[in-house]
Amino acid sequence: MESFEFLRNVTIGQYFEGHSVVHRIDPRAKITVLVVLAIVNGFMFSYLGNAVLLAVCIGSVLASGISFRFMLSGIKPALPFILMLALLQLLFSGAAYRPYGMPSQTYWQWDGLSVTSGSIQLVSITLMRFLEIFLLVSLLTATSTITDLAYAIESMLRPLQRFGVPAHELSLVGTIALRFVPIFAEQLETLMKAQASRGADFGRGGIFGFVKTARQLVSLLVPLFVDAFRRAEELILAMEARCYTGGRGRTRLVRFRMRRLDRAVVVAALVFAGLMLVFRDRFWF
Amino acid sequence: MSAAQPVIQVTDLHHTYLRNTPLEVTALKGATLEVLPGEIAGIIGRSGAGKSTLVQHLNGLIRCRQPGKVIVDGQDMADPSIDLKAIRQKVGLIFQRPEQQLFERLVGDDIAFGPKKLGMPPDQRRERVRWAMEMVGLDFEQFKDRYTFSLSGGEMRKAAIAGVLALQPRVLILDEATTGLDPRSRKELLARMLNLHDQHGVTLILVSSNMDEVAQLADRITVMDGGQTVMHGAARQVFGQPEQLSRHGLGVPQVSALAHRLSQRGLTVPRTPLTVAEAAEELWRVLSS
Amino acid sequence: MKFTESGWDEGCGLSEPIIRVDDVRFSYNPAGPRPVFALDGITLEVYRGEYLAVVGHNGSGKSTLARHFNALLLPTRGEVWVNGLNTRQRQHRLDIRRAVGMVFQVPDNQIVATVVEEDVAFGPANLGVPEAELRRRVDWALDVVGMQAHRRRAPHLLSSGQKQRVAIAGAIAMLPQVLVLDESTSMLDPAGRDEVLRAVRALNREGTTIVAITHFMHEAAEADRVIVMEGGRLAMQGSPRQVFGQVDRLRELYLDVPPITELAHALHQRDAAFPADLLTVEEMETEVMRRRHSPGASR
Repeated sequence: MESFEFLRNVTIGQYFEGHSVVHRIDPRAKITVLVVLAIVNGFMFSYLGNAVLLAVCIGSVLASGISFRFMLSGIKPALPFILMLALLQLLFSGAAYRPYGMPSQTYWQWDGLSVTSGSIQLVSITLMRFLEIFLLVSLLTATSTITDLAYAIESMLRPLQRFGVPAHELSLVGTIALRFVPIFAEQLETLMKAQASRGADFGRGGIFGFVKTARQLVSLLVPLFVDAFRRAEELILAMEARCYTGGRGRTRLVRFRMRRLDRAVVVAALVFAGLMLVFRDRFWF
Repeated sequence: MSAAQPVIQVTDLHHTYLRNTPLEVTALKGATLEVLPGEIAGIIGRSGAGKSTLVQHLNGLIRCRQPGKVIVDGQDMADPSIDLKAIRQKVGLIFQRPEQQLFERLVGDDIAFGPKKLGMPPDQRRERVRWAMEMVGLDFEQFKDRYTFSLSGGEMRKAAIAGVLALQPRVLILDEATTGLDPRSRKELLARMLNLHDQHGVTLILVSSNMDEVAQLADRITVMDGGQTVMHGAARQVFGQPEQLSRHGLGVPQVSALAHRLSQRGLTVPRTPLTVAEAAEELWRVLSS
Repeated sequence: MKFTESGWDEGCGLSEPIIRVDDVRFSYNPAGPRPVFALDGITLEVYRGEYLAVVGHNGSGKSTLARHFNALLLPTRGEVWVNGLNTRQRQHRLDIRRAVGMVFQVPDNQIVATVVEEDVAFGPANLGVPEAELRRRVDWALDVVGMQAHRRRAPHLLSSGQKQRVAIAGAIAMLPQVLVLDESTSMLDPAGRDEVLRAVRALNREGTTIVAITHFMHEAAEADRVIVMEGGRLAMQGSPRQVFGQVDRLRELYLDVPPITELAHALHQRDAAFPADLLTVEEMETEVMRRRHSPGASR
């Protein structure tokens, strides 16, 4: 991390203004589609099934006009973890995992470790499934502002308020948390720069360098938390000064109406999901 | 001032943040800066002009990989083999709200962080901490074992600054370090920095949006706007051009503005005053002639 | 009706007090062994339509006082009345906070929403203002502070001056009678400060009472009345000219005066006929030119 540009890696939560079809779909429809596709994702264990789902996800990203490369770059900080996990999966899960649609074949073995067709498939589909979810969530937050999403979630949870679900409070908590993401990113950046200016090292040396960075991150978390608490106190004061007393009796500014396009997209997603789930055992590969 | 080698030399520096991403923004488009050893340099400019970006190149927080040249103490910052730790020891940087950067449990430990990273033995560290605390006005015995977060805001600020001074930098950059402070705290901080300059020959670089402050302290001033250096010269010369400064979104000290307006009405004041004392002298002379 | 200097001098005031502070004492730890009183016996009135500046060094109690105006803090002893409503009474709290809006020091820590216009709507939405009216108020407030063009932007992309203007819009969208600015310009660069002050001046012209807590003396010089606080008490009170003319007293209180005033004071030391209470560059310029054209003439 020689350059301290944290905002570079914050793709989740980052909104990109645009006028694509994806942008214009009602956020409630998008959330519904996300949930539906996530459910499908949970049942996909075949190469082909995941290929189809992944294609749908990639297609959606392309349709939004947002730079595909930029969205993928959000994975970069997590890459070491992912590769580590992939390696472990590849080597340790072979024996236990029965591959979908093919016989189990061992390609390499040594002591307790093995690389089988099963473990290769597991790693591959896990990666694909991770990518699908990542793209869908990033796309959601990239094409709808957080406010729109919070509004959507609140709208969808509102019917549950009679059962004691604090829809407004939950959505406000979410909004505030997301509102402060860039602020804390900047604060963290300043903290790292201040410590670097006093001779601290950040981000050198591969895997072991990462461990060192972890220790340093702890020394950054203390002032960051203190900062967070201080901001929270001030924010509470400001909210009280503006007569915030919880969700009861509040009105709202933004309003969405579900149009034909939105309904059509939800129906299409449901149909697609239905087909994928029903035929999930029929993929030949 | 004799023709000494500048300790900082920046030529035509460019910098773009988040390059090749949709959020790309160009902060510097040809900035220059020259600071002579032992001087007090002021950098002024409206918000977004690129001042912070510029000074973060001076201690290697931002590496000079885009067009331009940054030479610190004779070393080219673009050289990949450069020892960044050594540079950061020579060039100290104090950010805005430094009290928000404390993280150690005990004050003494936090101040000792820099010397520790530099690999100093415990005895030397102790001496540095003692010296740094003296420089900021914190009693060593009384404060070194106090819990960092039990200090008052002002005391925390002093501890944070001591943390930077403990490295005994030869060049000290203050990046808007007085913004948000009340007049009393600001005066105290600047007095201590001035002391550092006068007694220990530390070169000071002040990035500030407070014109009075800069006028009082700086020898030479660099004005930035839109990522470029737009004016440069002796403080008196720069503040003698209020019209040009206002085009760049900046004001001048009240007394300098006064002198300018008087000269426009035919009353020439020989030197642009930078402080109240100077203005009083000049005006008295004018009024009693 | 605009509050004027002569009105204050006459003592009876051309307008009635909208906030009354009655012998207020306040401590953050009243039950502790050695309670420290941040406010130690303040009695004061804020008049409808005036522009009041409250100055004092850190720790003098100015912010603590400000937070009594909208019931964020309740006095340990004494009473505070807003529009005749006592701040101690919970049932009046919303009305009080609707009447007295507040803008704080750090722009980021006041903005709740992720879109500018959503944040401006936050206050009135809390009051249950119906949607059509909500829209109208948001548009109006953004217009007053000049941020209409940015209404759908994310706050973290704005400059600090712009953020502070959004905070002001959020406060005025509740249509308060008083706007309290608690050091709202101290984190801003000069351009940002100008933006905020312009908006504040416009509001005051339209009749909003302004209480500005500040340590920028040239800002306080614009006010109708200045209050100087020290040790939780009122140390000085008067028009800006009256207060800033007392340069030595202010220095004792660790306060600055506008440089021009300091200059006038210095010249006054050399020539007693030179007025010591000039506040602005214009006034100094006028005085100097006058003396040049007719040397020896006194005021």
